[in-house]
Amino acid sequence: MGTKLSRRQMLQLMGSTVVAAAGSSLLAACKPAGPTATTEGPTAQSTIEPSPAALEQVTLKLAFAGDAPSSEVLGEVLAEAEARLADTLNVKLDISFAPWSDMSKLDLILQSGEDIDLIFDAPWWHIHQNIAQDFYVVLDDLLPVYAPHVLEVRPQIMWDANKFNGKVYGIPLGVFCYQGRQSIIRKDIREALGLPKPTNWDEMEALLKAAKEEYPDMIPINYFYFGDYASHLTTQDFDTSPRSTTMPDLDVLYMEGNDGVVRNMFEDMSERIWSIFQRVHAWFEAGYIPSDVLTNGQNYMMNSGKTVVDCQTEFGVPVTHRKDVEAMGGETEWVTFFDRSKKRVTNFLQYNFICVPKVSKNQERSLRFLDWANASKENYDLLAYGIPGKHWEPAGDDMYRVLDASYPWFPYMWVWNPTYERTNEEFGAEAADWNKWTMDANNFEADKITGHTFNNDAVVDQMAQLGALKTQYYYPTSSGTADLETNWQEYKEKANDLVKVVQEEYQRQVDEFLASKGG
Amino acid sequence: MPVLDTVNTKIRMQRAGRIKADVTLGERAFLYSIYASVIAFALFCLIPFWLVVAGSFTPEANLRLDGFRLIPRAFSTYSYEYVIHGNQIGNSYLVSFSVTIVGTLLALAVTVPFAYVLSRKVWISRPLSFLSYFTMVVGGGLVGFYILVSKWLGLKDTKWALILPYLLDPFFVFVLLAYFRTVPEEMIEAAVIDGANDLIVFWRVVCPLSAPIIATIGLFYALRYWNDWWLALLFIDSSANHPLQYMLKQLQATTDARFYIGNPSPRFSTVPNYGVRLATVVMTIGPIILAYPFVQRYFVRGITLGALKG
Repeated sequence: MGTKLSRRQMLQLMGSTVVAAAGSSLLAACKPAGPTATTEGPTAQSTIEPSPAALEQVTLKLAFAGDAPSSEVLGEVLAEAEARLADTLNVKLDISFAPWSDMSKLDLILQSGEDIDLIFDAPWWHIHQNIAQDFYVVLDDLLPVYAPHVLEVRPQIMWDANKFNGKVYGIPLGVFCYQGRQSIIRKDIREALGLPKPTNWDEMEALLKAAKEEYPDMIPINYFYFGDYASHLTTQDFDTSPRSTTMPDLDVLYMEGNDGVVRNMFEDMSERIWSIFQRVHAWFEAGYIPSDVLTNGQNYMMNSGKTVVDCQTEFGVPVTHRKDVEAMGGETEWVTFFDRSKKRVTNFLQYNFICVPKVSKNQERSLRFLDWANASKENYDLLAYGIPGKHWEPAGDDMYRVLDASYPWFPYMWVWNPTYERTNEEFGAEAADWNKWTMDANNFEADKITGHTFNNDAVVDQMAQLGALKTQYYYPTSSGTADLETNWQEYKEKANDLVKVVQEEYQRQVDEFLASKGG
Repeated sequence: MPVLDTVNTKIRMQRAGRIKADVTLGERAFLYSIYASVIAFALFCLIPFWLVVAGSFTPEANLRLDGFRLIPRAFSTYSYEYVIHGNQIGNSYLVSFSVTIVGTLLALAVTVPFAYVLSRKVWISRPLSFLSYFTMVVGGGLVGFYILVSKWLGLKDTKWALILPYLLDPFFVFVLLAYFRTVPEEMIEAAVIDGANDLIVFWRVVCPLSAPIIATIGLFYALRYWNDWWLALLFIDSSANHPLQYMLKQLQATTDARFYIGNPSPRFSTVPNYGVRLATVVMTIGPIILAYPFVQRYFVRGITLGALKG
C-alpha cells in the first residue's frame, strides 16, 4: 500500500528525520529548563524587620530522606504550621521523602535543577560534592538578616565547627557536642548470669564470656554498622581521646590528645588504639562477635532476640528495641562508658544539614520559614513532635510523652537544635540527663583544629586508592575478624606510602590553619 | 527431546502390555534423572515462595526468634489484619489496579497500531522502524528523563507519570512486527478488494488473526505496570499515589511500619515489622497471578501455531 520510494529518496527522508529530531532536541535544550540560578535572591541590604503581612502565597518545597509519615498525618501537622504562618509568611509546605535506600534521589533533584527550596544533605552523604558543584547558597550574610533565631539557638562553636571551606553552606542540625554511645544489654540475661551492670570494658568482657558459655545460641555482642567494634571502644575513651581524621577513608591517620599533630597508625601506632584492636580481635576469636559481621549486622540486633549486647549510638534504649524484647519475654537496660570527670576532645562536627539550593525561587521565604521554626519552643515542638495534645504532650520542660506514634521523629532533617530539644520520656530520666550533658559545650575540650576542612585536591589519587584498601584491610581490623598482625602488616606494605603523602598534606593544612588562627 | 520420547513411549507400551519393549537400565536411569532434576528445580522455585506465605501467617515474635520455617510453630493472621486495617493498602491497591488496567489498554492501543504500520510497506515504515530501534540503544540518561517527566511535562505526583513512560516498548513493537508479517498478504488483499479500508483491515482482519501475540504482549505490559516501583520512586511523593510494589519497597526500607501503614486501630499494640512485609508480598502477588489463566490459552495456541505451519 502507498507509493514506493527510491533508495535515494529513502535515504534523504531518513537523513532529514534524524536531523529534524536532533535539531528539535537541541532547540529543547536551549529552552530554559525551569528555574535558573539567577532568580531574584535576597540581598544583604534588606532589613531585619518582619516581612510585610500581605505576602503572596508560595509553596515551599522541601526534600528530605528517611521514613516518611503517611501523607494524612504529615498533612495535619503541616496544615497547623501553615495556619500559624497564614498572616505572616503565608506559605504552603510540600515535603517529599527519599527512602534511606534510595537517597540518590536527592542528588537527582539537584542535578536536574528541580525547583526545590530546602534540601537535606550531610557529610556522610554528598554535601562536599554538592558544594563543589556549586549547588548551594552561601548563608553567612543571609542568616543574620533573614534567620537570626536560627543563629541564636545554636552555640557559636557549632557554627564555627561546621563550615565548609570557611563558609556556611548549610544550617547544622544537631544537639550534641559529641555523639552519645551506649551498649544495650539484655538485663534478664545479665541477672540470670548473676553479674553486675558493667562499668568498664573488662566487666563487659566478663559478661560476654559468661553469656557465651551459658547461652551458646545467642550472639554475645553485635554492632550493625560494618561491625566497627573498634570505633565503639575508641569513641568511649575519654582518657586520651583517640580519633581518626574527619575525612572518610582516612582512618589510619589519627589524632590523640590535643596537640594538632596528625599521626600515622603505620609508623606511630597509638598504644591505646592497638590495645583496642587486640581486644576486639580477641572477642572475635572467642566467638563473642558474629562471624558474618560485615553483612549480617542488621539481623542480629537486639530486637531479633539473638543478641545479648547491642552497640548503639545515643543514650537510652530505643522504644522498638524495648517493646520487641519485652514481647519475647525479656528486659533491656543500657550503659555508657563516657566519663563525666574528663573532658573529651571533640571537633563539634554535626552530621546533618539543611541547605538552600541556588535554583530556589524562594530563598528569602525559605530562610524566614526556618527562622520561624527556630523562633520559639512552640514552633519547634510542632514540627519536631507533632500536634500537641494529639501526637505528644510535655513531660516537664525538656521531655515529652508520645500520645500517638504515627508522626515519626525527624527534626534532624530541618530544625534540630540544642536549645529546644526534648528527650522522649521512654528513654528515661538518666538518658535525658546524659543528653543535656552532651549538649553543653563546656563539658568538652574543643579540638585545636575545630573548623578545619581538609581539602583533598592534591591527594585525590592517593585517597581513592586508600578507600579501596580501607575496605580490604581496615574493616577486617576494626571488626576484629582478621588476624591482626598479618593483616596489619599487609595493610602497611600496601598503604603506608600513600598514607605518608596524605599525612604530609594534611599536617601542612593543619599547620596553616592553626597559624591563621594565631594558635 | 527425541530420546526422552522414545523411552517414554517404550515404557508406556510395555506397561500396556502391547509389546515386549526393551527399556534398558540406562534409559530408565536417564528418564528418572530428568524427572529428579525437574522436581528439584520446581522445589527450588516453590520453597522460597512457600516460606513467604508461611512467614506471613507466623506471629512476629516467632519470626524474630526462629526466622523462616516451612511449617511455622504458631499460626497468626495478625500481620494481615494490621495491613488491612491501615489506610495505605487500600490506596496502593487502587493505584496499582488503575495504573495496570489503564496502562495496559493504552499501551496496546498505541503499540499494536504502531507495529501494524511498521509491518506495512509504506513510506513511513522504515524511518519509524529505525527510530524505534534507535531509542532502544540510545537514551537521554536518567537526569534527562527525570527533567522531561517532572519539569517539562509536569507529571510529578500524578498517575500519568506511572503510565506514560511505558506506553511504547520498542522490543514489543518488533515482536508484534514479526508476527504481523506472517499474516498472509492474500487475506489483506481480499479484504481490500471487498472494499475494506486500512482501519477495517487492521481491526477486522489482522487483529483477530494476531490475538495470541496481542494477548501475550498485553500480559507483559500488565506485568510491567503491576511490578513497577521505579517510576514511583522517581516521581511520586504523596503516599496516596504509591502503587503496591512501592509500598512494599517502603516497608522494607522503613524502620517502623506504623508510620507508613497509616493509623490502624489502637488494638494493634505491637508493630509486626517483618510480618507486614511478608503479608504485603502475598497480597501483591495475588491479583496478577489471576491474570495468567485468562491468557494461558493464547500462550498454548501461540506456541503450537508456528509448529504446524508447512
